[in-house]
Amino acid sequence: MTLPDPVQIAVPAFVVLIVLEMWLTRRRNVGRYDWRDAGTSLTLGLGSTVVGALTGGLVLAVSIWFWNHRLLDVPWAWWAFVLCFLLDDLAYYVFHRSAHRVRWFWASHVIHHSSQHYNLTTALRQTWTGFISLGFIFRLPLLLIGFPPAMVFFCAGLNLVYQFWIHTEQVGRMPRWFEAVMNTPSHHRVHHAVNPRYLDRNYAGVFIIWDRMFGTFEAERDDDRPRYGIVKALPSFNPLWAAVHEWVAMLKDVASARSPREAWGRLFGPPGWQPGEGAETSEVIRARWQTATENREP
Amino acid sequence: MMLALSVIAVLLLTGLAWFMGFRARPTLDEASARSEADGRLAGFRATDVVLADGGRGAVLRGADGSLALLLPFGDGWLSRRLSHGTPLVHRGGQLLVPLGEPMLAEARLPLERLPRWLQEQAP
Repeated sequence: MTLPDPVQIAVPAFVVLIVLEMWLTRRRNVGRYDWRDAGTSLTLGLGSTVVGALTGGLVLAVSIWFWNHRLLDVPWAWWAFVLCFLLDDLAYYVFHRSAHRVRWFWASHVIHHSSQHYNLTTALRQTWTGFISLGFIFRLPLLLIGFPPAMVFFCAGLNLVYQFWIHTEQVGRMPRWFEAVMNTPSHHRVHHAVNPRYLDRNYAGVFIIWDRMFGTFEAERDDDRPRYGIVKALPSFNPLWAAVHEWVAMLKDVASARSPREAWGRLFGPPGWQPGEGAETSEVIRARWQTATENREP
Repeated sequence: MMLALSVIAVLLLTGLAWFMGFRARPTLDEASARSEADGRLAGFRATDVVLADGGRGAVLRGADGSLALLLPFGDGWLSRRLSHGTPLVHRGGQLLVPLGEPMLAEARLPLERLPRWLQEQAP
């Protein structure tokens, strides 16, 4: 069975919504845009599409190989699509959590977080190096179960399309029932924030239930406005640097490691890890903030 | 064909952002400098602030004696906490701060006059 690519179909809508968001940003004075930042994000999005086209064949070949070793024959039925979408979203949660907790995957994913802005162009700021970090392995279990590759890729595309609209400050909060189940602009603003309270929270793709289940949920607070980006913001709008900067830093760290254990930690430890004092992991940053906050209280 | 259309769309949207005026170069006052540094640098609490000339940046001293910089970047700011003993140099109306980063080897803040607390650290 041949299925359409949801992302390709959605691209014209992406363009229209970006223009609408720019207009709303101007009119309501809510949210921020900067032409250089938007240009970088859009260029990274374009580059990601090109790299995806170049490496897609190999990913498909690996996927088919895994599917050929499947445990079950999942039929082309409506319930299979629903189940596939749900399990794919769980796989996305696992991938996304790993992408923030393991530097090897973070080196690829950091691109998406490297803007200090949060608007619809940020949604398109996608990795160029996902193939190198092997991010696609997180979906392989679905193929081993027996979901056909076309179904898995279709659901993954829908997942990606859903995540576009949540990258905005133009939407405040959705109705309570929706916020309880679905990933929303509010939940995802938390995810993109560097406020210590919000670091490494809300990994969900479509359903926020995974974060609620696995203890990684944090609600957006009106008294702690999200500040977007990464802990050490990039000092450049150069898309190429945005795409590779963490790989460069990681390889330098590994090259100067003084033991195999340190090299391992530099590659697969959490971002900001280093041996001894001076680590800047999200736990260290949060603890430092908590200490400072407690000292300030009378 | 698709690639050409995509490139055109990127250029048009970027141009539209410029045309709509999203090219601000904001300035800082003391309160916004404190808020930016305190909000971006976990655990940092500014006690002293000196603004760069024209408000295009700031140097801040924290309650623990550490220093932080705010540098202009697009329509926002880059924040950097300086490691202890970072050699600051004041020359030709500029404060020069070596940061040693691949894309930011040295920060230069226009600063004619330094307050006493900063003079001690920037000969």
